Formats: sequence, structure tokens, C-alpha cells
Amino acid sequence: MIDNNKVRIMTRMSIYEKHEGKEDLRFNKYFKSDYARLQVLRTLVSVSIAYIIFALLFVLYNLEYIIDNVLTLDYPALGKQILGGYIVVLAVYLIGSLVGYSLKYQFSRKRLKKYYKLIRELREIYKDEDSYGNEL
Amino acid sequence: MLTKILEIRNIAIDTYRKVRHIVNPVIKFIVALLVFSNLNSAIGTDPRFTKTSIVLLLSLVSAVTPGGVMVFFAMALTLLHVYNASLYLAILVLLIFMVLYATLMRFSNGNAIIAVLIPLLAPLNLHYAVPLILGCVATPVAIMPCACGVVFYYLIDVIKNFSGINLEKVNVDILIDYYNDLLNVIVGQKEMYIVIVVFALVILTVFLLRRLPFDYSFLISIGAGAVVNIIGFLVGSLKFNLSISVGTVIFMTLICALIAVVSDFMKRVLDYTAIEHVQFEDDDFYYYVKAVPKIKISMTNHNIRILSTSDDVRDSDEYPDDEDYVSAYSEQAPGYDLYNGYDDEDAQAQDDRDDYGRDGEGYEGEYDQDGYYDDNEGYEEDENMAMRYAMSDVKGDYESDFEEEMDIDDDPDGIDR
Repeated sequence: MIDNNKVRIMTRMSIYEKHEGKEDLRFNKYFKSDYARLQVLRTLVSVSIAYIIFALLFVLYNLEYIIDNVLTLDYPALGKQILGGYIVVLAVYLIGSLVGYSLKYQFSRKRLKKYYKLIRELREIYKDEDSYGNEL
Repeated sequence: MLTKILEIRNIAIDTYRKVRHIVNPVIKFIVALLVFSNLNSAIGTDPRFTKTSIVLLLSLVSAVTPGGVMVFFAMALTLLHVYNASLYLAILVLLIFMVLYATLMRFSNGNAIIAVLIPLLAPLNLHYAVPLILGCVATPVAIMPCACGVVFYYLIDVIKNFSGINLEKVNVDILIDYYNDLLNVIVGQKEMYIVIVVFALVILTVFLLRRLPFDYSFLISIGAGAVVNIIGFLVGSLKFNLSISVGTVIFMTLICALIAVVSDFMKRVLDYTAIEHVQFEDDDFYYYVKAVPKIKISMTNHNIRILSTSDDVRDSDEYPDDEDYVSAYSEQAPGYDLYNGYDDEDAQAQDDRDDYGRDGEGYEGEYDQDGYYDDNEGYEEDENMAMRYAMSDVKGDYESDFEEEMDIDDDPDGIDR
């Protein structure tokens, strides 16, 4: 016989698994610090690649000027500027991603707690069913 | 008047809930169709990709996949059209797209579709609505896809200049000009950066103000966002000599603010005249709660029940107000429950019907506005409305279940790491 309560719990669980649950259960493999570190590392790689490409485009944009002044350019100062820019951009992105992904992880934990609560309810129902079956 | 508007809102929301599984993909399909058609008409140099069948196919796939796929198709289509004009320009565009993805799009967090909405709405000057609505419904991370959309718009604007020209045959100087124009978009385009900064400020303003606990914070935040938008473009126009018409910005910002207000109205209507201030405590905290109830109105529910088998009564058209008729007839006839089709179960069902005319048994277990299954929606929601919605409005949109919120720390499985 269909247990309405069980169906209701399983439906809620299934809908959660279909939407945020997919991502949340993936996060569940990590501790908060591990997850945040992994995302920060990914951000570091992607921002570094983007900065190199951006610098390349900047050089291309000013190629005429660079060729004209190739001998007179202050290369150490230019290097410092590029490095300084990289550090600033990287710092902004890394801090942003650390905060953002930590918050994202926390929200996912809250949703997961509700999900685990439903699992416990379901487990109780199965326990009751088992004990009822044994009595018979 | 307000009741009528609220009734219309209820009908619209109920209708949307019923058909959203069909309507959502259809809306996405139409948006994708508009995006790809506009892209093709603006920069369509390769006739193979401007075919209707290709556009329809891409739109169809975009309709049933996440928003990021639509953005990917739009970028791929742009790249292919540029490649048809010149390989080197295509490489440049690819590099720009890589920068956009690495710095902006990978943080889109489910809002990727905004990146194509801004270029779509910008020619109509309706793109000012995007940051206003994003401030209301999203987090500041939405600044990222919004900025990507602005860059995409300016990029298409430049690509337009050389679309349709065979760049292999033109003078080298002209080709270099095109290269510089393209590079200028990402390296030296002041106007674009000002638009990005203004949109970011609008999103932040609306987001921060709407979370503050004062009355009408949602409306005030949209108004403040509109003011920031106007002042931002005004300053940008005066200081950096932008090619933006101030009059158009002011007029269209007001229109867009109105759109944002309507969008917010469809999301929630709060009754600030019935605010509850409550204080309570548990083992760990003392709570000061300001509870703002949501306005909910009951819809008129006409239930027609035929209580007689005679022909003159069976025709319900003869009784314009059927509910009154049934009520009056039921009271006057003591033995009415013996009539055909009206047994004890029906009587019980009528008793169970609540003030809103809803059948308790059938109403139990519905999908809530956010798409989650909520078996409490119905009775408990109305009974505990003030308290439950207070928590959702004070804390934010992601938590609305008060009871479950209170015992989230009770976790014997030890999953809290």
C-alpha cells in the first residue's frame, strides 16, 4: 500500500536532488577549507591566463609605440607596473573567490542539513515498517 | 482597485505555476531566437550560419539547456562570422572571449543568460532594467555576467563595422585600423568601462538597500538604483564626453525602474500596515523579529452543485449567483443530503473547506513559488504567515521554512564540518 507520507518525503528529496542537490552533494565531498582552496586555485589559474592574454592584447594595441621606442623604454619600470597590476588583480579575485565560495559552501550545507533531516525521517518510516513486519 | 490588481496578480501567478514547464522553455526559445537573429543581422557574414534552420536549431537546443549554452552559441556564432571575414581577427576575438570567460563568465553562477540579454536590449535602451532587476533578485556576483554582456555589446558594435567586407582584399592600413578598433574595445574603451562601473554600482545599491530593515525597502532600493544609474551616466557623459543622450538615459531609466517595480510586485507584496514586532529567546540567542506579512487575497471560488434532478434547476445558467442559490437551497431543505450525489463524504468535504474556499485534502502538497515541494503550503502557511515570512524577509530569500531553520544545528549525523 502506498504510504503518502513516504511519497511526500521522497518527492521533496527528489526535487532537491534534481536542482541544487546536484551541486550540493558534489560539495559534500570536500571540507569547507578544501573546497574554498580548490576554487581559489582555479581562480588563480584562470586569472593568470586572462592577465597574460590581456597583457598580450595591450602590447598589440600599443605595438606601434613600442616599436618606435624599443630602445628607450624603461623596462624595469614597465615590469614593475605589469607585476604590480597582476598582484592587485589577483588579490581582488582571490579574496573575492575565497569569500564567495565559502559563503556558497555554507548555504549548501544548510540545504543539505534539511535534506539529511528528510533522510532521517524516511529512515524512521522504514524502521517502523520493519518492526511492524517482524511483529506479524 | 488594489484588490483588483492583486487578484490579477494571483491569477497570473497561478496560471504561470500551472504552465511554467511549457512557458519557460518557450520564453527561452524566443529569447534565443531573438539573440541569434539579431547577431546574424548585425554581423552575419557567413551565409551558412545565417540560415533559418541553423538559427532555429540553435534556439531549440538553447531552450532546453542552461543559459550558459545560449551564451556559448552566441560567442561561437560571433567567432565563426568573424573567421569568415579574417582569420587573424577571429584569433583576436577568441582571445578576448577567453579573457571574458576567465575573468567574468566563470563566476556567472547561473545568471549567464544576462550576457546575451544586454546586447539584445541595448538597442531599445531597455538594458537599464537588467541591473535594477538583478539587484532585486540576485547577489552582487551578478555584476560579472552583467559586465560581460556590456563588453559583448561593444564588441558586436565594432565587428559590425567590418562585417560584409572581404578583409583579405582591403588596404593594410584599413586592416590595422580594424585590429586597433577591436583591441580598443577591451583595452581602451572608456565608455564601456563607465557603463560597467555604473551597472555594478546600481546592482550594489539595490542589493544593499533592499536588505535593510526599513519599510518599502524594495521600492526605495529600486528608486535609489535608478538615481545612481542616472547620476552615473550624467557624470560619465559630462566628465568623459560620452556619446550617450542624457535625456534618453533619464527617460529610459524611469521606464526600466517601472519594469523593475512590476517585476518585484510579481515576486512579493508586503503589507507594511500590519507589521508585527516580536521578541523571544532560546538557549543560545535572544531574537528581535520584525515580521512583515505578505498580502494574500482570497479568490472568489464558485462551486456549482446540482441538488435537484428536475430540469428547471439543473440548468445553472438560470441562476447567475449559484453559490447563493446553493446556500439558500441547502438551508431551506433539511433532507438535502439524501439527494443523489450528495452523501456524508461531501458534507464532510464542505465542512473541511476553509475560508479561502480551498479543499484541504486536495490542497495539501504543492510546489511553492521557488519550485520546491511544500506540503505545508496551504493551511499552515496562512496561519503562521506573519512569523514564517518574517524570517524569510529578514534573513533573505534562500530560507523560508522557519521551523526547519530553527533546528538546523540538530545534526546527529555530524555533517557539520
